[in-house]
Amino acid sequence: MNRTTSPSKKNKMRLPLYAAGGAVVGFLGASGINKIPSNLNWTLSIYYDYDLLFALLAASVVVMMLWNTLSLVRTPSVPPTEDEVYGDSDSLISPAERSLGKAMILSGLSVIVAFTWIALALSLNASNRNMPNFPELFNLMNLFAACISIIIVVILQTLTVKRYNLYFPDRALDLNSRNMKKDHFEKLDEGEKWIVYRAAYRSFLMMNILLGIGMVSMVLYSALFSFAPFPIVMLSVIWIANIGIYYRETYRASNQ
Amino acid sequence: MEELHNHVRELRARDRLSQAELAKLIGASRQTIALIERGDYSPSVVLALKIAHVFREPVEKIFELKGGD
Repeated sequence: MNRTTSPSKKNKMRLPLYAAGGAVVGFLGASGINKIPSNLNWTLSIYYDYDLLFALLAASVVVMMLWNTLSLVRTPSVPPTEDEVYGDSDSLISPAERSLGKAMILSGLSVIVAFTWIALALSLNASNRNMPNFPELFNLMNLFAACISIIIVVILQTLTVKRYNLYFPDRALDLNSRNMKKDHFEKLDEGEKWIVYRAAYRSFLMMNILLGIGMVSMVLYSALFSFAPFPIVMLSVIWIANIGIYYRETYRASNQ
Repeated sequence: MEELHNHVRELRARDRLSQAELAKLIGASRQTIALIERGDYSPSVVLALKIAHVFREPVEKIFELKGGD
């Protein structure tokens, strides 16, 4: 049952990563590059400013929507009885539930990517004054396409959640509820709650690593492009909140 | 280090119960039974007592600590 890698092995695996990081920082420091040459195009553009960035986002949303639909189609609309599906297997989920799970994950991810698209489109719209290669038509089309994508992903998510509720009526999700996740968690039994605790703890650990990586990336961005204080401050606020909530909960539990 | 082992699978086979049926009897999900049988999850005292009640066996006969010093 011991599936974890030993700490010494883990440390050895980290060494090349640290070495690569050190090499990049050392190279940048030694080469005397302070800023990226201004004639280099870093706006991910082909025809218009940032069109490649939005094309990548649009392609991601479309791929995820199609995958989500496919997963939903693969999930039978009538849930099979538990004994029919599992028999005496050790598997935690049936093939139908696996497809449904995939659809749930994809619908969640596509909503995030679609909202990222509209957020970027809106922020670009708000700051397009100094962009020579950013026609109004492209701007409007981009905003319109982002809005349409949000409508589609939300419809798809509603359909996916409906299917989920059909499979698990005792722990139905209510998309209209403000406490959807909390209400859903309360309906789980102890084994399922244990799965959620473990997943949340791993997510918390990963979040700390990612926030650190994000901050280092912003420092690199500042070194190569321009000073970016706002993202660094935002990341530090999120980091403080993340750690703060963790300690608040452990403190609460120890004082009960 | 001592580890918790259980005989839920054997007892379930003895009583010809499926995971879903056992789950229903103790008010848990089938996933939880599968987790317990795989040894991934140690159930709470309440759940262990419910399982023992279904199999009409003492808890220590179903769950036991193995290994260690």
